[in-house]
Amino acid sequence: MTYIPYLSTVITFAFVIAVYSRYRQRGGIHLLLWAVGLFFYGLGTLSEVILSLTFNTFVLKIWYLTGAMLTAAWLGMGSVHLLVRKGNTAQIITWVLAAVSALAFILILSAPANAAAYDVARPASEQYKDILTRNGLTILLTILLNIYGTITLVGGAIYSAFLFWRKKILASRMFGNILIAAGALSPAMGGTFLKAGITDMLYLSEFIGAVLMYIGFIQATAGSTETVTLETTSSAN
Amino acid sequence: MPETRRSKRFSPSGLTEKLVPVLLVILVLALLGVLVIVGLSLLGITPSA
Repeated sequence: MTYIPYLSTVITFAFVIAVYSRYRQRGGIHLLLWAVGLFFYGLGTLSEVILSLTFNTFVLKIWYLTGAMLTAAWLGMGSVHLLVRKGNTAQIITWVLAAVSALAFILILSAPANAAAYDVARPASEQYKDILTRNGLTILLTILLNIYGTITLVGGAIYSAFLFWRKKILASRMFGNILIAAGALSPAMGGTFLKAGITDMLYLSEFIGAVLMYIGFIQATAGSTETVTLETTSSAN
Repeated sequence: MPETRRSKRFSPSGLTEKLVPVLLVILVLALLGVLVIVGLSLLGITPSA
């Protein structure tokens, strides 16, 4: 199963380039924030690749910081910018998230690690708790960031798909959002299994998540040159 | 100024008519399931948080 993070990394960084290119073409802070979130996703899977070859404390910390703490929250932050257009609520939340992310960075970098206990033959997800000492605040932040990210990213995609379905417009964006919701749920469920003590699913769930979200993004943006009514809908544009 | 562009409407087929609501409900239930387990881990009830 160790080849799965290689595939996830390639797909995710290709996804990052696609989203960032669209941001360069069209603007939209949500696209930039999705690119940031996906970059964290890719850093997490790249760390899994490195940790399957050799152990490095800094890489393990980057793996935990990006994969377990920041990815979902920053992806969800993009969805918030897409859905919450009025006022400066989205901007305020973004600054709060940036501050929390900085705190998470400091907490993880300063966390003690027991490098001698690491076994490169086993997935990092199976053994990180024995290696990386996480205090209560770190665990709390991890859980809160994941709750926020999952609700906003998955919930936002479901809400967008529902709007398209109710109005019967833009079928490609509707199905794209359904795929994005399913893809975002996949690593969230992998992380949930991890919390329940089941570790084998994490790498596979990350791969499935990256593939589904990428396909969903392509699907959602495929018909973007069509003339559309956008006054009430939000979408992955 | 009111939006004047035309909508790209679609007419769902029989399969899509039934499939999409089912998919949306499944996704909502899966989301709730994930949040419940995350909440339980917050309370320290799951084997490992």
